[in-house]
Amino acid sequence: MPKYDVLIVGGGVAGLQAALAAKHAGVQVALLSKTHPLRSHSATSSDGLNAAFGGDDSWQQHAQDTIRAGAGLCDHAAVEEMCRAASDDIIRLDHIGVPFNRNAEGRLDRWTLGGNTLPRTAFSADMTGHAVLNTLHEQCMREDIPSHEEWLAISLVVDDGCCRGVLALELGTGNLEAFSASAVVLATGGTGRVYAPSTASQSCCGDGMSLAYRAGLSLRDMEMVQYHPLGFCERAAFASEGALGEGAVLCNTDGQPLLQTNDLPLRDALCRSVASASDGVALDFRSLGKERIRARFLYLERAATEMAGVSLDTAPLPVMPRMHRVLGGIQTDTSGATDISGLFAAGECASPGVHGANALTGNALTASVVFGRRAGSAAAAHASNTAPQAITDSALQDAHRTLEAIFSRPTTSGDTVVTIQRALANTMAEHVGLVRDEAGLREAARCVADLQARYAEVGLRHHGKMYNHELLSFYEVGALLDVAGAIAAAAQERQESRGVHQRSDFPATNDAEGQYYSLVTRGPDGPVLTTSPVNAGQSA
Amino acid sequence: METTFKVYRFDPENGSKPDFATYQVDLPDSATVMDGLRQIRDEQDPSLAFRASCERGSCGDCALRINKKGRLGCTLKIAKTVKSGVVTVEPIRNIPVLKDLVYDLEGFLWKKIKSVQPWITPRGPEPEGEYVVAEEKLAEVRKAMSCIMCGLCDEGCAVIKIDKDFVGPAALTKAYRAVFDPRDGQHDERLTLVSEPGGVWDCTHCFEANGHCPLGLEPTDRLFEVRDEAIRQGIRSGTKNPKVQRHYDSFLNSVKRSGWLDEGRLAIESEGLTNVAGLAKLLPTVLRAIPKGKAPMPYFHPKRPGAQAIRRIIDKAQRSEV
Repeated sequence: MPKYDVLIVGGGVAGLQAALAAKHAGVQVALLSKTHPLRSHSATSSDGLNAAFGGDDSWQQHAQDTIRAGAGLCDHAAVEEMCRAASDDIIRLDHIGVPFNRNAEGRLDRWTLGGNTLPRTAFSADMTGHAVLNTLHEQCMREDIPSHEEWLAISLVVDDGCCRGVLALELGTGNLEAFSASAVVLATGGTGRVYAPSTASQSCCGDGMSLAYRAGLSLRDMEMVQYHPLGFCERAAFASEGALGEGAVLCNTDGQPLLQTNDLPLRDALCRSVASASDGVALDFRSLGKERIRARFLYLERAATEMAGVSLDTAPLPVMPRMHRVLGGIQTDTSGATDISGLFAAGECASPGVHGANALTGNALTASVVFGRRAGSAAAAHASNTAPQAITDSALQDAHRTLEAIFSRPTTSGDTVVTIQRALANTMAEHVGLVRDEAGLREAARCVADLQARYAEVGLRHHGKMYNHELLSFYEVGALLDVAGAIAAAAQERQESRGVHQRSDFPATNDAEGQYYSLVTRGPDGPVLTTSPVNAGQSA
Repeated sequence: METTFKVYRFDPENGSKPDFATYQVDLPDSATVMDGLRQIRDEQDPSLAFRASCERGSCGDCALRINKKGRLGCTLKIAKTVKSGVVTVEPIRNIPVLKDLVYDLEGFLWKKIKSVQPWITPRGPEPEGEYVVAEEKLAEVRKAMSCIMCGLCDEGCAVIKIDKDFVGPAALTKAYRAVFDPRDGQHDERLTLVSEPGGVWDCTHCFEANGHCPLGLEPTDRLFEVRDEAIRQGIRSGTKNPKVQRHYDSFLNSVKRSGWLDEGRLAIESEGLTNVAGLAKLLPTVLRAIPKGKAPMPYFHPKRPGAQAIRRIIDKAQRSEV
């Protein structure tokens, strides 16, 4: 049984940050990841990293912009933590080799993203996520951090309220193994595949959210589902919002600009503008010229040509809003700690509370960098003070029995994990999309419950052990159903419009009753919703 | 659009030999090769194994050989590659196949990437803020770093095909990223590392890597730039690669002496006059070359007209280098 002080589940930006922080704290740390780290969804992050780098900017101004975007639901202590730490973390990324774009003085260039009152976003063309991911991966190689790749964590081992490690399935062999650890950091990323269409990679299935949910933890603010305004019409790709600050123009089919002022709107408002243009919208880069397009939109230039058949310097790129991410996740404090001792979470699967009801564009990757590091440090500190406990053989034996039971289910109904996943993603897009109402949300909750029942019976057609994708999908769809149930329940409860959560039957914001965090836990009959007041006080 | 997919199948679990299976898919014109493979797996044959992640050409997970050419399956539209209604999909070449279209990148790519130590080590104390660096310098690093590690340059590499120890264009493009990053403090150490056997000197200049890179990053050129930088820094051989220095010296001396390259002598002097084992390895090549007129006997290497002028040019160049 592999044993570590700290086990990081997930190899994206938050996971690699956590791994490096734990390593630097002097503990034995390892990564366990469903894909190779460089195949993580972080590679698609294109907007850059927000931070106040001095001059006219301050962390307070960054925090104010973040809180304004979050429409009353940000945890102010978490926002302060992130905005205070962001510039040092980004400078650190520069020191270890992220090739950030430079200005004429050779210092970090910054572009402007919607909702930011100043240009404060450091970027590496429109491939910042890719550049950060690769740089952190280089440092993990340098530090010789063990990496278990193509392993799926299938459950957390929790004894007496303490996390002891995880049980995991090796995708290449079908073997089950217990990984013992004094502290576990969940950094499994987002859950975009709960919708179709979305901007998600194949791996974004809410795995970590579901692991925590099944272990009894709360998922916070799950009704807050952010769409990306500049998605490609036929593929999961999207253009960086940095395009708008750089001078690309959003136009309707007549070539008329969609935005009437020079102020770039918040992402939720921009999505609604793009969605309301009935004949479609396109992003026009022609005024930038080829050289600037190439220097700043290294990825998009290629992607537009290959996937949309558009050369950015000669024609506008048609775009549409696509579901992008859930802003909520596993409830954590600002160190990534959860209510289970020894279990931490960071990155897109976690909710320390910085995004509220609408993320400030450019904050998502910053949050992964800052809270990934903090979770790794906190996990290392916890591990240093905790004697490791072996995982009992019975836990692994139970997992083997469960797996055998899954394989022995009949396939006579004709249902497959694929049909369930498709039905789920279509239901969520139809009824829990950009604009919601009571009837649709009720229907979504009913459909999710119905799909849960079908899932409880579904059999697998393929019984091979090596790279059995149907088995992987079985676990992923189980996680997506958990997440979908939580989203639908939280969205139904919030009878107002706020940030990304817009209801046609309750179009107004209700500050008297709506300023709460939704907390969804797993009950015997489905999701159970409670609320807690927003932390609007600043930390000490 | 109806298309026939011919897909490489290999499942070590059932003990069968590798073979192709044929499937019919019906997809819109905008569909990619990965859309086709997914339709096959989801609706026809759940045992089909392949890797796929980002679905937008960002992660490199779906590098495959499609209609006999290394491509990214997620950005390649079926309509662009289909030939007479057929799309043939195989794993990339020169790599152990684990199952169907899933292959083992560990030895082929990841270990080689790590072997060039492509991480930034600070040179001296770090500045308080960011490094002050000219954009032009970082722009090239950024471009090289946009590599998605798909492995297609290595797939096309003519050397890896016959020498699995060559680290290959992908790892050397990764080395370029560190070598030309002005923030790095391990410049000479890394240049020495990539000058070892299996490094930059094992490239045979076939330029296949440039043709195979789906991002147009020109890995062959990056490799040459790393090698040229090593030469500029006076690093002509790694600690285990004295042959490079001997090759360099023999080449130069030959041209200085006769005005042109003495290929026979170059081969012998590169191996080293006291390196009996190395010289013995040359014998079979010589024996095969003689009947084909490639090694005329008796061997004689005459001076070219103008050899003196060439020597003067080299001497002058060497003096200006000093």
